[in-house]
Amino acid sequence: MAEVAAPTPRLFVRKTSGLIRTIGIWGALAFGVHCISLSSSGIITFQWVPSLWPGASIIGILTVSALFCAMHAYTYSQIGAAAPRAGADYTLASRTLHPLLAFPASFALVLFSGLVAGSLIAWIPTVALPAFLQASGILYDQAWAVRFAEWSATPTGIVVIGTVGVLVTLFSLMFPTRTVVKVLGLGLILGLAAWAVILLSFATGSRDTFVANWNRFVPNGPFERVLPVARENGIEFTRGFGTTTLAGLIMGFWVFYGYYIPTFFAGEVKEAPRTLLWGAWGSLFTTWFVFALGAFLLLRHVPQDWIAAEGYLYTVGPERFDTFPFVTFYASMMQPNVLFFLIMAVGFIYTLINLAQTYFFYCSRIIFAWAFDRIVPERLAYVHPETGSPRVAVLLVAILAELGVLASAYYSVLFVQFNFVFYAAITMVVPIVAAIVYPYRKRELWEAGAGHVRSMIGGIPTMTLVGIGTLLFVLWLVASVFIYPAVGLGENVDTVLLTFGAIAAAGVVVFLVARWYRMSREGIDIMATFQEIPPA
Amino acid sequence: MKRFFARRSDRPGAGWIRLLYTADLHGSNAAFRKLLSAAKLHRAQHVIIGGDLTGKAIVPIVKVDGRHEAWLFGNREEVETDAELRALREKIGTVGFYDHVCTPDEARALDADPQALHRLFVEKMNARLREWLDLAGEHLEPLGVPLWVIPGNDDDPSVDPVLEAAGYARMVDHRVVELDEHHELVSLGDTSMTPWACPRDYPEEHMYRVVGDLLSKVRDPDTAILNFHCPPRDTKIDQCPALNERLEIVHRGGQLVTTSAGSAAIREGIEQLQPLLSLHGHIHEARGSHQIGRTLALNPGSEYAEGILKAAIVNLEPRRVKGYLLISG
Repeated sequence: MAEVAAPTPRLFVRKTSGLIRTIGIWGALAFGVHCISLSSSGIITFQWVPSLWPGASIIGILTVSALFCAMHAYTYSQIGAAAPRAGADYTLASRTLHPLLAFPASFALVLFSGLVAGSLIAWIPTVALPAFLQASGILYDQAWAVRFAEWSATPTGIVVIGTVGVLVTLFSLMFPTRTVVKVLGLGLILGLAAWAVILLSFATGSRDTFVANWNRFVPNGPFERVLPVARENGIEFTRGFGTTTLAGLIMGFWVFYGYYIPTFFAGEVKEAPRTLLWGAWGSLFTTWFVFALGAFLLLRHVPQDWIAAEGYLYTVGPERFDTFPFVTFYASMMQPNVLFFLIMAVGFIYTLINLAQTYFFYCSRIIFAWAFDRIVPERLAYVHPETGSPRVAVLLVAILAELGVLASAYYSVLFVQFNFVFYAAITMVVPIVAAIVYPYRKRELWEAGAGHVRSMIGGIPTMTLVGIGTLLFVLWLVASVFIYPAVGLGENVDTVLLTFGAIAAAGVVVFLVARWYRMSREGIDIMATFQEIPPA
Repeated sequence: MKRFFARRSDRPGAGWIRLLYTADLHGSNAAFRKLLSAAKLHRAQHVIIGGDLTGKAIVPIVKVDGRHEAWLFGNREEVETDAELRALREKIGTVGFYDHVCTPDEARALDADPQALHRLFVEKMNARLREWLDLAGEHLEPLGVPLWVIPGNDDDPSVDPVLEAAGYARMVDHRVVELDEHHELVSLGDTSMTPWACPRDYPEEHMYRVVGDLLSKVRDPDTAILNFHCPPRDTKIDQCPALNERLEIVHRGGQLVTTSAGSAAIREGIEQLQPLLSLHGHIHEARGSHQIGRTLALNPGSEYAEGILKAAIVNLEPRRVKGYLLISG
């Protein structure tokens, strides 16, 4: 028998030290799922989305949305892979384009993310608590719960409960990151358990049970009257593939925003190209699957038009016609079981806090990136020596979140979030353009990049091609808030545009003041940090 | 706008100097050449390299049927012409590795003979280091910018004679030297133990002894600059992933567990002496700054494998750190 030669060695390595930071795909997926949110996105998928697009398929909207978001996720994973460090989007854009474009965009994103964190916390007193308390009042005859639910949604209730929520989130982020991750991990289990109960209730129930229980628990909004009353109040059903596609094109960020969050702490992920992509796609697929399965099971019992009408009446219906368009109410009404009810309540409220935690977490990482570039005081990047928690940055985000709670109390929860989709999309334009031109402006770095960063299709970098598609998608999202007032700025166009202009201008001023200060006091030109250094 | 900022000079001059510090170049030709370029670009008056000069791996470029093939970062690279071969070798040098053109049998023989492999490493490392030192002389001498160098824990002892024999660079390991008329530079490449037991890893007892010995020679702590490869323990600039007994990275709940990898002796030394500035490398991912009393400690981090230079620009008055900036490019 011929001797088989040993394989030729590919690399000789000597004994040296050195490692890289790592968050694996599972960690990235957990962050993504929490930032998408099994609770708030779960609720709007069955309430607000069908009521906005009566006649369009819920599963169709989710699918089209997820497909476009997957393209966006790809671009952001490449941004993180090309600049694997804290605040990767800001870092890549400031080095590839110009810091005077990148910093104001990043500044506006953090400011509005902080406000949105507050408005998401305000979901607890305005949506989550009333949904559960009213349901428990109705299902288990608890009058106090109904009274508390009514108070919770008043401005005073929102401010009190919202402030407690902000303080709880702030307090939780004072602990080491690994504790925060454990808290998030527990939230993922609780959130999935809540959805398991919902899916189980839908899977084991029947149409007759749904109708009978609905009429039993909601006598002032009977099942049969929902569609006629909605029609009387102006609902119009537009069916067809076109409507569903259009809705999907618009609702992506509303439902799935958050899957790309690990890009903001790309410096802490292992094998950035792979982890960021699969973490983002994984969280997108997980939430799509959970919501789509929920919709599929629910639609076996209830027509889609009815779900749309119930959601519609919640917003514009007559005062004496009771509405409960919450997926959690549908499930707890179909299977009135105290244990199931508690699992859903705990899971949904806990994951709303988790959602705020992810916003606090990513904002603090972006602030780190600014402090590293010495645009903001190093004090903002202070890390507690024992816990490793970024206390000053987190406190700053908490202040913004409290403002978000106040805005939600005295305007509406959606007021802040409406604006956020506009702000998030418009600030993304800068890093996405940076990603498109990166292979050309930073050729050497792009060629040295790992994995899918330097892949090409037909001789053109994939990063550029997908980036162009993503740019068109976010530009469409910006345009859609003007074209479709229901998901847009409504009557607040001038206010929102002025606010955005003022914040972007404030970002420019902060950058210029920082540059002037460092130059005059320290003899340092911070522009040096953005400069390319050619080899000698 | 440019004119407005130009009036506020960032040029070193009256009463202050500018240092350019880097560490952990690990053989990356691109990072080293960028360092020389950065010295000119940023008008540095002193360049300091804080250890870990040499690369970690040799990539065998194997001759097969008139072609050459190699594996770089898991990708198979195949070249045919001399020009392509030169480009491949350049690419390998950019990321800090060394190339070795050989036959499959030679590669297998090297794999089976650790001593021969070590000799090859020594030959490759020292050859590149000599090239770098010559290049530094060509670029920095006309600018009048001194280059201060020490080895790090990953550098084989064989590099010491190469550094000592350098024409322009000054090897200052285990020494206290005058940087200029105001500042002393105190340098040390030794580090506390790592899990890999590298050439200059030592137990803390050794670190306490050598650190104590060096710091006792400092004349004026208020103006002293430490150039210690290893960072002080329990700081932001010494955080790295924790490892288990199989040298695998520890995760809990999907999250990386970090630990301090700096030296307790260096931390105590800084706390007691309170020098003006303390410059460190070693932990590539722990880029940043940490204040220990009046002492500013910096670690510029390293991304040598991407051909990126990470460095610190520090403006120094005689008794005060005027300003600093971590740069990368």
